[in-house]
Amino acid sequence: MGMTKRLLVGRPVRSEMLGEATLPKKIALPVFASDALSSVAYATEEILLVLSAGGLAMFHYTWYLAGGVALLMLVVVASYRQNVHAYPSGGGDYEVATTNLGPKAGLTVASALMVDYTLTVAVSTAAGVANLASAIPALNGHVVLICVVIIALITLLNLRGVRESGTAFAIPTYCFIAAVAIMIIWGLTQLLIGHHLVAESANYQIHSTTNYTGLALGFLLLRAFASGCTALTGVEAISNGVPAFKAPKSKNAATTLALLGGIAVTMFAGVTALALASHVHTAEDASQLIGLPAGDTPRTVIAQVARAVFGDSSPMFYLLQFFTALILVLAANTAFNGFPVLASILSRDGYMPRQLRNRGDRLAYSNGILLLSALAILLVIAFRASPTRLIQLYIIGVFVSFVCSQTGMIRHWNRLLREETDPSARGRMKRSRVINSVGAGFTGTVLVIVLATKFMKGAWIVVVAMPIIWLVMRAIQRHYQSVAVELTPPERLRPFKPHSNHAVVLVSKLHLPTLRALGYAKATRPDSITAVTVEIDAEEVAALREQWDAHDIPVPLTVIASPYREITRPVVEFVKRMRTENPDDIVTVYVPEYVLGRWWEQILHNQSALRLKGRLLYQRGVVVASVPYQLRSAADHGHPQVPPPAAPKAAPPLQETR
Amino acid sequence: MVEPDTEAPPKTRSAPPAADRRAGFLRRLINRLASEASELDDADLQAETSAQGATPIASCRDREAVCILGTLRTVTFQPRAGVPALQAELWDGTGAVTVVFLGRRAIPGITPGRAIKVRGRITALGGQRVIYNPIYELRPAPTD
Repeated sequence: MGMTKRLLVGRPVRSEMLGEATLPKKIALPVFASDALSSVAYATEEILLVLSAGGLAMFHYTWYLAGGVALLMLVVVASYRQNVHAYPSGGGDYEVATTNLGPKAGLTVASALMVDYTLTVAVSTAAGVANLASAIPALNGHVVLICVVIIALITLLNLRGVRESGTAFAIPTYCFIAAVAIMIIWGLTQLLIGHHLVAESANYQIHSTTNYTGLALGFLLLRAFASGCTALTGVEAISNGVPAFKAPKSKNAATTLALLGGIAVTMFAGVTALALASHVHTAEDASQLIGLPAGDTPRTVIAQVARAVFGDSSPMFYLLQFFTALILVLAANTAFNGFPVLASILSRDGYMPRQLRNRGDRLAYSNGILLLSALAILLVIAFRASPTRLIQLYIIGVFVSFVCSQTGMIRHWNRLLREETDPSARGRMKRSRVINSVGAGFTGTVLVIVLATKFMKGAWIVVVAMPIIWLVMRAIQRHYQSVAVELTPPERLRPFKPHSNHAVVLVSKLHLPTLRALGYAKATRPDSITAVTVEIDAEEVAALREQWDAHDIPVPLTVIASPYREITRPVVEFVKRMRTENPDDIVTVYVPEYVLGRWWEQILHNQSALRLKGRLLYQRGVVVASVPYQLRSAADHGHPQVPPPAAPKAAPPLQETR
Repeated sequence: MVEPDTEAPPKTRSAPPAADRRAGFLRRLINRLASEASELDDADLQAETSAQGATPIASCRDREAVCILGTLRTVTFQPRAGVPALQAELWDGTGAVTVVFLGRRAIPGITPGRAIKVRGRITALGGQRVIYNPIYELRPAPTD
């Protein structure tokens, strides 16, 4: 077990190594932006997929929708630049909402973000694998398995703590940006020269059953817009990571955010333009595509564009697909940075189990990482790794957290404005407030759109899950609080000594563990001491008494009757009676145990002592002392370098206490 | 003057202690089912006590000469090195009394689980009720 862990996770890292490694902008951009940039790989596709329901005629709306998404992106980036300046501590939206709107809003953000981090992993891996499968169609049958393996690998990498190695992220992200840029420039040049780009699906017709007009058309367009908003996920990552930037932290983070916004919008617009120019046709249901060979899965939109631009099996196409898959996997990794940190902050505030605050061998929040990975794998399996189905659940959480944090920011500025007198500072604050208000308005509207359009498509799962998480976190916090209240000592209470201490040593046979327990019990100088055995078999008790005298043991032996051959209950009742006679006293029960080294050895021994310990734990005023005796197998097994305990001398040490 | 025994009458076995009452339903159920055998035994003991004209321990007064009938719940053997005295806890279904046989390390027949009838003077010693050197009579177990 220890060996396997060491091999997988690596050598433990000392706590002093924790020092926050600060990142320059050029490394921070890829580390934090992979999530936001990766959505370029599927945002266009999601818009087209929704529009396809209305037939080919709908595709000309794509431009407006893409424009809307790009505008929204710019607004959100501008708003988050304000957050980054105002809250540089890295608490992110949770901190903003808690500080300005109260802990309940903070919890709302937290539950929303947790749902979304999980979905980020599921969606990104699923989309990444879909892109791999577009390059290598043979993989189509095994997407779920591949997704699970990839998530497991990311988990492993995070358990090893790759967070510190920013360069590992930088190269693939920059390669992806470069590949997409080359594709856009190359494609646009070809268009300018007068070449026609033709996607493989350009001749497919879309079989549409309904004719969309009026309200239905509006609804479809809104739904397409909502799907396109997936491009916005990951923008909040930078606001959580401000402490990781090189000084001046806030300024660098804001600049990086602006860069991220610029790059993401450019890439999104470029891919959408090329997709439209090359007439990529795709549909939610492959059977709606007329012309697609039966049984084939249509390629992802970015793959089709790449094939149209670079040629069917050109190296650039494969390279782009490879980097797309890679950056999607890295985007999944962003969630692995965010979720465990959020969980640890929540557990610090008492909303999540304490275990999530522990750092593992490699200083990563191992339990949070494992939790996220388990949830994501469940999601991927439940949704058969279909990015389109998973995306229906996505981005609600992100937008809930956008809205809460932007509203919180408005309050933040209002509060500051109440006390600020310097006119220039007031001007700056007012400007920031306007930006955040616009952000809150936009994201609020989009949240309503997303909820309304995606609710029936699966978003209700998130709408149900978030309040449940919220309630569970409240319950956890209430529990921790009531425990803390019960444990807090009244003022100036000194440690109090029990009136007296009665020792009870459990005896089944007179062997070395028993002698050790008796000796130890005597050494604590109790007010009274007795050995206790339960009479199951009268002859055994008689033999025990003989041995007791033969070894000249200076402790009285109490034999408890057990008419029904029980062990645990008579002993517990006996201890209880000792307690009721003297309620201020403490009864210490010494349990001799021999420790075995191998698991199969343990099966062979009837560990009634364990059961007894469990029962005694619930008795007030009773202390259970376990006196272990390590058998040779245990000593060899645990610490081979420690010599086994010296064989006891012929004269037992007990006699000296006589 | 002999102080009247101010000790509250011992709780009947059927009333569960507060800790048990707070425990979950399942635990309570298990406890009830588990304690049934001993409750039946206690009823038997009490019936035997009244049939033989003995005094229930709960109604024994301090420094009174009594005749008690019950079973030995525990027997404590003193170490060879110490003062010889055999101690046993006698339970009659209403309460417990410690019987002490001074000068003896063991008495054949005084074993845990044994039904016994004792006559002697009951005293209180540090909150415990004790009868020293009683006249005793071994009896067949109530179920025999």
